Amino acid sequence: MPDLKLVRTNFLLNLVAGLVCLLLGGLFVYQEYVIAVHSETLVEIQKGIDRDAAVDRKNVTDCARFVRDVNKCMEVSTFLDVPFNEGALVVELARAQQPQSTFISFEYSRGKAAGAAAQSIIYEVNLRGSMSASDSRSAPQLIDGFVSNLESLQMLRDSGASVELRSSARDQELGLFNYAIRISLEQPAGGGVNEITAYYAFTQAVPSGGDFGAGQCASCGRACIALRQP
Amino acid sequence: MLVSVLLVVALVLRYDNLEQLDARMQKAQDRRESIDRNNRFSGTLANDLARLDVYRARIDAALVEPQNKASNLAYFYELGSQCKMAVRRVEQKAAPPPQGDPKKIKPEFTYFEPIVFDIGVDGSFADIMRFLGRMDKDRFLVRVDKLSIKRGDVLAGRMESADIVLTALCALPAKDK
Repeated sequence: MPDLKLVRTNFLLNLVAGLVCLLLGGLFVYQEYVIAVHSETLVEIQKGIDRDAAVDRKNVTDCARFVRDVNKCMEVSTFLDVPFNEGALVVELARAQQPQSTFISFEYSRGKAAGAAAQSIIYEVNLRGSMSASDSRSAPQLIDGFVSNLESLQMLRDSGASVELRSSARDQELGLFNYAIRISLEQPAGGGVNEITAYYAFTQAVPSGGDFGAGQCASCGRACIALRQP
Repeated sequence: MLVSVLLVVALVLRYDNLEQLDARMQKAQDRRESIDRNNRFSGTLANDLARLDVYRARIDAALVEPQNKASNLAYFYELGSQCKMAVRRVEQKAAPPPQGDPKKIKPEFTYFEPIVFDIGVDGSFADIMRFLGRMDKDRFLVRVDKLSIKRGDVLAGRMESADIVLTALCALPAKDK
């Protein structure tokens, strides 16, 4: 029955072609629909972006200004941050001495530690004076007492400075003991404050220390900065 | 058959369009997200900036102007006479160049330029202390890098003499462009 087969094949071919055509048509329509929806969304988003662009630009420049100014302030506070105030220290030292003691000279210096890689700052005080004996104690005893007085000074204890008696020698002529005491402290440069690179809103209080606090942001976990009330 | 072929061609052509559109949409969405994120983090930024400006203005007002050398030196003489002591000498000097390899060591100053004042004063112990204290809290941002106090001659009225080396901060010179 060739006829029948021919008819059947023809019919089937047409059917398949029709189906393929219909399928492609459907796909085309669907694709057009997606394109239309996406373009509309894009227009919407773009509109929002255009609306907020000015605010965003301000946020970005403000943020850059904040970062620059904070680092500037931090640099000042690092610059001014010394473990003890030299003037106050002189006064403390003068208070800690016994009536038998007289200062000859006081030298304070702040300097970089030697060595190319050394990043630390050395604070050094060289104190020279003379001590006479008291009624009950000899001059060397008084000098030792003075050194231990210095060691227990709150100001020096807080900063972790070390006190050392460099020399103590008898002045034959005057019958006094001349002493030299060295107070020294080595600290890492920079005071451990890192520059911040971005502004992140803070959600919790930050560690104390000066006017600014550097710490970890509670929400983003990155290095952050927050200000204290001026 | 012909319709199918045309449809395939149209589909393929329009698919390119769709891809471009999607790429643009992705970009726009990323931008949107970044705006939102910036906005979220900037909630207290204006407030913090206003507070920061107070500090910044205070710092800017306390910077030394190295070109006004005579005024700077006069300031220290004036401070000395306010503390009733003699200022022997004041010198304004350039700060020594930083030591060490700048690649390895972070320079101490990024936003400022240091300047050094070398001061010699004579006065009583209390006056010298007052001078130091006043200077610390007064006009300039200064740090004492060296302080040496020596007892004066008993015959010369027991005045102490002190040498002070200060570092102060100046604004960075404007960049030439």
